[in-house]
Amino acid sequence: MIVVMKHYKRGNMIYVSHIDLMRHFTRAFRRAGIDVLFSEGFNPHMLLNLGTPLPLGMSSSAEYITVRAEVKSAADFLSRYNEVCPEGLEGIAAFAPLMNPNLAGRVVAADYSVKVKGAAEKKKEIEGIVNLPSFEMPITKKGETKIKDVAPLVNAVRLYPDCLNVCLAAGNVNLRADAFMRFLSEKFSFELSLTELWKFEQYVRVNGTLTETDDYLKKLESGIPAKE
Amino acid sequence: MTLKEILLKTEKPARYSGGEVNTPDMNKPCDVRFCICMPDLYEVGMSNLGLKILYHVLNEQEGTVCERAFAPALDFLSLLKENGLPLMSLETKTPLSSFDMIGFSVQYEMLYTGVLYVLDAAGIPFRAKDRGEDYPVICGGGPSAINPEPIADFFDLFMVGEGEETIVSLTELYKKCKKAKKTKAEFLALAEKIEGVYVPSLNTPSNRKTVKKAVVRDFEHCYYPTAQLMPTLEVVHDRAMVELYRGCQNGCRFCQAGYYYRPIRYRSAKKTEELIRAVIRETGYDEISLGSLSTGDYPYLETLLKNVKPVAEKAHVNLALPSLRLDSFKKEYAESSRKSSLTFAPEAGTQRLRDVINKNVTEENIREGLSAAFDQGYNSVKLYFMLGLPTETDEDLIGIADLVRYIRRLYYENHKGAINISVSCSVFIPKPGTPFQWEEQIDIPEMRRRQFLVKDELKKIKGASFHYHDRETSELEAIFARGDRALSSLIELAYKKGAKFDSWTEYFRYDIWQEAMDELGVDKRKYLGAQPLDKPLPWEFIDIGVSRKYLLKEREKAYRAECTKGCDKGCQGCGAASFAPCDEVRR
Repeated sequence: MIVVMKHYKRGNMIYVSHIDLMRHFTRAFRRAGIDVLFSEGFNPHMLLNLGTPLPLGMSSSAEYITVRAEVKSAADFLSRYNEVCPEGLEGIAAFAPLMNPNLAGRVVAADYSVKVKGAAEKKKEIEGIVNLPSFEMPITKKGETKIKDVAPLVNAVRLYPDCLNVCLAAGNVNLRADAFMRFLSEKFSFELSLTELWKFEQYVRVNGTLTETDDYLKKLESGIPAKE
Repeated sequence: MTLKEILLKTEKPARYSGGEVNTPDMNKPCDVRFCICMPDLYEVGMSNLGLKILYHVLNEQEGTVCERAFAPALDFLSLLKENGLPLMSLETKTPLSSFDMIGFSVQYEMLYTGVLYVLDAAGIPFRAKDRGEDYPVICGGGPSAINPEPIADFFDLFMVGEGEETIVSLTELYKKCKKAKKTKAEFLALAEKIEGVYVPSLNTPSNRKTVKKAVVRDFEHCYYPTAQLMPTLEVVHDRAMVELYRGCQNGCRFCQAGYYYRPIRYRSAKKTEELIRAVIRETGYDEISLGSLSTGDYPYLETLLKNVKPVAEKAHVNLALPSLRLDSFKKEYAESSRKSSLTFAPEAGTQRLRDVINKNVTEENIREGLSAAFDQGYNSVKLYFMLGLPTETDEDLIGIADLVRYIRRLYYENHKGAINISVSCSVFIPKPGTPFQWEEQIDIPEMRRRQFLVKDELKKIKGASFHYHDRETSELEAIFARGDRALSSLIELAYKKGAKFDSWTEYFRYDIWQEAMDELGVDKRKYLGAQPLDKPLPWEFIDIGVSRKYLLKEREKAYRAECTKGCDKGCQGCGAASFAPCDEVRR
């Protein structure tokens, strides 16, 4: 059956790269005795689908991994995995969708939160970004820095007494949360601790609206939707 | 900056974060905190089996906690320094200077400056005499302990030989001494009585006591970790390891490990199988290496493979058989493993020279072994040779190319397509504890001449490629291999002048060493030339079980190009069986 597991990436595991993360999963599944489907061919390897790589140093409570496994149920998968999982990569929930949800291709946005200090006075200006027709910031890619209008990539900005939450484009069109947060802190001169940067929700687009990934997966557990 | 912030600015922060799967309980009540240090990067250190054995055996003991530290890469070290932080352990982020004991595993000579680099990063004085009661007891071990003299001044004690039993005796003694409020000097005087322990301050060149290396007597039942620590990032040897046996029956005359780890002690097929099953279950690795000094010579290999192959296949685990000799290579061994490339070490190009070094591989063995491999589908072969072996002539060097041509012909007898033959030549380094410990090392211009001779010969052969070791590194390794206590000053001065990570070609700076030698008036020829047979060598107070008489006899046979049969063909009386029962004598 297809199993999608939602998991943490936190603690010491935030320093683990995407490719090493895959290694951690293959080893954990083998320790758990979970029979996961392998590729065929010269060098068979465990078939794992991970989402967009999380930048090194960012924590997350909403990562997803998809596998095909011989297990009784999604719950069985989750409990067997959690018995042997590395600290910091604990499973949170597991779903058994009737089709491969292709989350890597479907996720369009994510929520992030970072600890901030001294931003309260600028609350209006910071939250007002969402309504600006354009919002330019420098984006560095492969060593090259360009000024880019990121307004279309910012879905929401909300300031709380000690944290700043944003919803940004994620997936194929992506705005890096750490770069965005750092830019805001410089522009509006407030302090932020990037060591406390969390991703806590991922969204897919269903019939034109942002839907929480968990809700989408729950729907897929009961049936395959008709073509949108 | 906090450590967390530093890690975010560091390349490969997982090297320093800790939190590996199978990390033992670090919070249990403990009377002694030990830190194992590898004077190299995480990726190298975490590939070492010895580290895993010692780490887990210590953590198994009641009242003992063992943590780890590795040499920090330059970027991390400068961030630590900028922020006024000392080097810390991975597990609990405790500064190294706060541990009771620190144990360096020194794998080979080029890591000597690494020891100082780590001590420096930890803010610990280099020399034992400058460290008072407040600093940890600094221990050394690993293969370099066969001649600890060049680094003797930096250590409080060395564990010579196999460490897993010695290290437990030492920590237990430490607990007793700590309870009785004994001084470091009192502890060291008692530690010296433990088998395999050498205390340089109490055992000096002018006042020598023999130190017997430690040997595990009951290898079958000795501790072996199955829930092995899993590195968080990809390391050099990223696989689980199960040891098949210790010692080696072949007696190649240049090989230190072959003499140092005698006598031979085999683990039974049943016990090995149990370990393999447990290791698969508890690590989840997709590859298990069946390690030993010569895996093809493990007498129970066929039985073992028959029993564990189905288990491994079911779990999609690859069984790796490293260190196969051509003469022991059999078809069935190659079958299961991935057919990437085969590695063999003929070591010398002609039969005469192979007889000199007692590498009992014949052209017939090569023919049989490689034909079998080619039939299995292998079309890439790696060959290891040594240059500068005793009695070597240009004919022997040309013989390397002849051997490569022979292998090509062999391949094209029954196969089509391209074949890659990669030839890698190191430089002979006379090592303590071997019959060649008295031999000279050729000088750098001669190394260069011989390397280019082979290179030019191989250029003429299609599909052959050539790699050779750095000459200056090989020379320095030879100086240290047979060094004495006078070299501690050289190492310290070179380190202060900027020598570090000498085993990494991109960091190695021979000019620094040259400068330091000139400044101290160190005559390298003293260490590189032939050593007198009638005087004790600086390391001969260390008794490895193999007698001087036996080594000299082997040396004479080498000069007559006379082979010595393997231990499996009858005991040759090397003397190591007096240390522990030798399984070849028993068989």
